[in-house]
Amino acid sequence: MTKTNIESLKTTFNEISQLFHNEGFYGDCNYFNKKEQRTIVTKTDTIIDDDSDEGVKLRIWDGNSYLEYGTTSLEHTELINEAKKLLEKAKKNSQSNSSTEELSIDTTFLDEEYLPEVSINTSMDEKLSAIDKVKNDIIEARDNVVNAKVGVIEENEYHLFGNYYKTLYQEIPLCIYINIANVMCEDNSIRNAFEAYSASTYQEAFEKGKNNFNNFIEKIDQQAKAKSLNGGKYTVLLSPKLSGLLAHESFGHGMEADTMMKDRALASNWVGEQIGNEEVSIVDYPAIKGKNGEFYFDHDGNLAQKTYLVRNGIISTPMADNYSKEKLNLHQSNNGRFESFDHKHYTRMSNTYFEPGKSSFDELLESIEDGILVTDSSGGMEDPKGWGVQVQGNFGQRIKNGKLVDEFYDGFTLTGFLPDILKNVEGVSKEFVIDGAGLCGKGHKEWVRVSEGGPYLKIKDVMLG
Amino acid sequence: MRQETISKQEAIKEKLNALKANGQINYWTLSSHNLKRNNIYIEKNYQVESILEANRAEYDITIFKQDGKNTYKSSFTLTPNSTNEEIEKQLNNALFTCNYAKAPQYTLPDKNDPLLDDTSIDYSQFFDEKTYNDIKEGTINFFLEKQLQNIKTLIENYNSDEVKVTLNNLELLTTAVDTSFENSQDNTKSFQKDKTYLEFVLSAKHKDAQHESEHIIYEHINSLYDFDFTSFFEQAIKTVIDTTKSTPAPQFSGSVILKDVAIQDFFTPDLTMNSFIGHASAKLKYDQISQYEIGNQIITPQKDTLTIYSNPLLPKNEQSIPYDGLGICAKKVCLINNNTLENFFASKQYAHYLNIEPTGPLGVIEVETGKNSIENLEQEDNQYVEIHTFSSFVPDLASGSFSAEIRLGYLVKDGVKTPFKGGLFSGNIFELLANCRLSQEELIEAGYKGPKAIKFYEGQIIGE
Repeated sequence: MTKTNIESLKTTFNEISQLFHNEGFYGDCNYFNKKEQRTIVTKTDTIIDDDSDEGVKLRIWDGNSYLEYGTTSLEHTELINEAKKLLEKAKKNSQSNSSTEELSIDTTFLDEEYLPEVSINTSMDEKLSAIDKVKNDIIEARDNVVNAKVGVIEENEYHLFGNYYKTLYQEIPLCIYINIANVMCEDNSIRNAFEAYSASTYQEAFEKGKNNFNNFIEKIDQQAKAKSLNGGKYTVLLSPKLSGLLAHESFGHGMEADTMMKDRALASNWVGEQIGNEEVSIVDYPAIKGKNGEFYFDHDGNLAQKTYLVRNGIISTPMADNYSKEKLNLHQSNNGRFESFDHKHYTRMSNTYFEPGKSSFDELLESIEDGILVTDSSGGMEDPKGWGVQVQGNFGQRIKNGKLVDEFYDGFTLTGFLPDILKNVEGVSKEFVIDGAGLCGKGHKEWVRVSEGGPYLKIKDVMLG
Repeated sequence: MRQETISKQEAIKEKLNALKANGQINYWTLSSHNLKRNNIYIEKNYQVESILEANRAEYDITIFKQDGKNTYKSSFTLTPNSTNEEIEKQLNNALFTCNYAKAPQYTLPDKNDPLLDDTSIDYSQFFDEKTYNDIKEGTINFFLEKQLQNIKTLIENYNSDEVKVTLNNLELLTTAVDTSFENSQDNTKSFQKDKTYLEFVLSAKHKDAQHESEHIIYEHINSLYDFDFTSFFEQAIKTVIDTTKSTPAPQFSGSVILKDVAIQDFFTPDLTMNSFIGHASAKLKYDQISQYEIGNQIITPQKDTLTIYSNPLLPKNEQSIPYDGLGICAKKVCLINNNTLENFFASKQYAHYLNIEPTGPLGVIEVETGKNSIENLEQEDNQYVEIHTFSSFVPDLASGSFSAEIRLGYLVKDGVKTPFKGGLFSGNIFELLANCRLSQEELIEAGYKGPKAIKFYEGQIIGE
């Protein structure tokens, strides 16, 4: 997106916001452009795909509902005409509505840009030769690797927001580096060893992967030996990735105000209540550079801020988009996001994590007589109404007498009732890592980028199976 | 807008043809997609939260180069907004990346390739004209508003002093799609589709219960005007009322019957594929992840065997599609016949590597029904578990292992059904299918046509 195009869209957005405002309506405009290049090497193929998703979303509040229009067109006259159509509909609805509500919009005038540092480009030759070497190294490292994939996903998101008060622009560069090995296991099944790192640039993400190469090879060996886990209750030590998933799937979704607004979140009844020990604090904070949930303002035009969902064990502030904030009379947060310009705004998370604690990883490990270190997962599913936990496709290692032993388990699920799980948190590590590259859905759709991470968590009596 | 779109498409084609003429590329494909969306979002108390209309137009372009050893391929997206300068820039980028994006050489369809011949395809079967037109014209909202009124009345009728049922939210998303395909061999095709997605949440509270229960529905509707909203909602209301009596999940080993959404999720999971079917992929075979061989039995059956087709031509099904990314026409293909692999599903690339015929796009998964009625399957055991919905069913594609939380299940003992929520259904797809029976009753949903129930004789539920 060139500077000229952004400036021209700013002019269009100002005109539309003014048009709405002059007629007594609130409205806003979002320009969204996501450019993505996926570079993947396998044993035989090199795949490079470019994808882009670009358009504008206009929105007006008619006193009860939002009327929204999304389009691929960036053309000034067309956007103004569509804005006029929305305005006419809003006027008509407003006249027929028996009662109307005004949105409490932040009226501070602001014109800000959030731009990334200038990064050094790596040539395609250099990049392909580097990831191809890693792929060959993975295949050659072990005879039981039947195939391997190494990939780099480079994304640039350009986002312009405009309403009567604010003009905000941000550019978010992100890179995800991925290693996958298809491993022939001891039980003759093929399973995958997988790892992903996110950063602002290719160089940083690749460096993380390179530094962890030996750990990845170790992961292949562990995967090959993995067995099924007998279902039951265990003391678990969750890795940062898993604690992030727990914070996100099990807790975060239940603290989304649009879910609360629909009476779908048990958490609504618990705000202000003690749910975990004092060491438990869960935060959502988007403005962390290079993390997959990074942004500096949301699609409602709210600036990034840290939201404590749980503070010292007490349920604190729900995350909200503008609509649900209004309906529930909540504090402003920065969680109004959409998947693309032709999708609705919802309350969505960003980087959601447990804050670090006081114990060291070694202390937590040594304190477990018999348990499981859960290191990896394929994902989870929310259940805000029942506050149930489901984190599935997990990989783990046995802990016996405070030490990790050579027993590995694959494909099990972690489940239970969230308040029980949080109540049973016995330790939070000071080691803290946010990494990974997740996409979060609202149910089965509306995918937005989020991160996974946090500290290690020791929890007793967790159901695995 | 339409005129402008066509001229932009012509401008892109002109540039692609020029690249081909001067030998910089050997082949190209261009797919254009125009989507019109009409979505309505309802929150509790039947309050409209938002009405969203959208127009999306984009072109997906792929260029190919061949040097006798490798096929080089690069894809990118343009929109009608793209200026001539941007088109040039994107094409130059694609030419550059095409030098790197390589795979062992495979043949691309010729001008008169029978694989491209679509004379036998009835394009009218991919959409419902009335639904498609109403979405395009924006008049679909009248129908949606009327349905909402009916739903409201229906729910009110089910409310009593004993149980209170509430609609917590509802989303009805409709899309009309125009897709066209062209390639450098002057092959052109186009088709229309209509898509409807319904999502809603019902909650119910029994007067003696401490908490409300909820039931979430995610439904891809194949034909909006033929869809029976009343009976669909009635069933959902009955289910949510049932969940108010749910108990914790039992610990259980034995017969497990999957029904409703659970059987659909089992054969066509949302984010991956059922491993038994997924290993029939030529790509997985080429990547050495699948160990299937044509003519070999996949699993040794103890009871029913499975016969599975890919059918991209099933009329008015959301997953039906007339051709693949290279324009190769769709056909119904038997993948697995009585547990024996009959065909891999294969794109042109992987078909070439495995020396088999390409199958066109993967379509609706059709599983042949069994010989037993659901009633017979249920009467075989004094005690069994019935699963209706999972929280999420995501098996590991490579190994077939899974462990899925149960959103709604029933423990059935001597004919008495006790609903439960929670607990895990764990196992391995290959092992479970080796000892199963399929119902004779059939279910047709978006992407799935097959038995309405499947019974596994060695199921495992991890519960309290």
